[in-house]
Amino acid sequence: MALDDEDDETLAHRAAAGDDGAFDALANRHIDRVYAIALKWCSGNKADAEDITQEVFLKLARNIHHYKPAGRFTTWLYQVVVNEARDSHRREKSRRTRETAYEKETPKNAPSTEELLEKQADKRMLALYDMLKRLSPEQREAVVLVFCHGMSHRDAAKVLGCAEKTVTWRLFEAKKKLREWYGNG
Amino acid sequence: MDDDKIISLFGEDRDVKMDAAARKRILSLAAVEYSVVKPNRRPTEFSPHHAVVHRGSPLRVAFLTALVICLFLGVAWQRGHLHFGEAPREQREKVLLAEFNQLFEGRLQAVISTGGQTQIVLAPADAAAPRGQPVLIRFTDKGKDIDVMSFSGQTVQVQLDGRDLVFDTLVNGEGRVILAGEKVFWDGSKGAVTDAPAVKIRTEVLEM
Repeated sequence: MALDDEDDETLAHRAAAGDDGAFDALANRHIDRVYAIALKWCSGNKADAEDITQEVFLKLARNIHHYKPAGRFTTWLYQVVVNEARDSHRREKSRRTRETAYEKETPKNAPSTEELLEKQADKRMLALYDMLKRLSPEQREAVVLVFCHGMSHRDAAKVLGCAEKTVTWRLFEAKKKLREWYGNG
Repeated sequence: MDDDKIISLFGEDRDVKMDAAARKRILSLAAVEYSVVKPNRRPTEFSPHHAVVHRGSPLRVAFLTALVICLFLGVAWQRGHLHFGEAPREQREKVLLAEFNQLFEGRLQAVISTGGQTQIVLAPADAAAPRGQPVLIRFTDKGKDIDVMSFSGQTVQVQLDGRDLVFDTLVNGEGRVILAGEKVFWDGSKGAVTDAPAVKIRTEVLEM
């Protein structure tokens, strides 16, 4: 059977045993999905999303041999994504605090993601990222996994390391906010 | 805005594609990292060589392998061919260095490997990194190895014994590696002067 026809779990087993082809196939299969999740997490900032994606795949390379067949491979992979996104968010917060003074004195040269998106007249994407940015980090995590990537509440709970009910509650709260902000949309 | 509308709005660009160059760079980096840290390829139920590799009992195979290695080491030692950076390892380092250097278009300053973790140090995008001879440096600190692949003329920073050690890497006219920094001076002929005396240093110039 060709590598592309193998399921994720089989490829992960093979990669864990040292099969380069299996690792490449697995990485190729999931890189766009990981990037898509990271992009939403970063409210559309492509550079940050690429950084997160890179870290996720370096961690995957370093830790694939720890993969245990207890659950689906994607659940395990998304856990790595979530952890990296959270770390990145923490680092970004700390960096922003340090750079606040500098930014006040320095004129901006590069257009922000919002500016780029506006140039592209992609209002819908802008609205989407604006919505995500305004949610709390916990609600954003639940929305990205369930609404953006179609995961069940149960799978999202496994990825986020919380109870299924917690995911349901976070989504309920997120939807309430979204209705308030965009009630007339 | 009802639930379906919210879900469809968020789900529309689920399969967004990343920039092709970034995709290629990340996949290459991951592949290199995987090749560095992956476990030794061993036979699995998926391996087409399964039947061949499992002919002997694991104990017998281990014993024979150890015997062959001992014989090889003994012969190599006697002939004086065995030195730091034996051929397969040196070959691997050369390939790695060449791969990384190509990947980062001459911005590579150093590759530092510690206990299976690899750190890549790059020069800023607008700085042309001077390219000297490639060198391999191994620090052994409390039984743990830190391998540094860098180039003559580069400044490198590693953490040894919980402290940062910064040094310039130089290759002199005789082809000998010299490490010179505030807290360390290493010259192959004179040994190391450092405030971490327990640390052992070995160096080698890599012929590319």
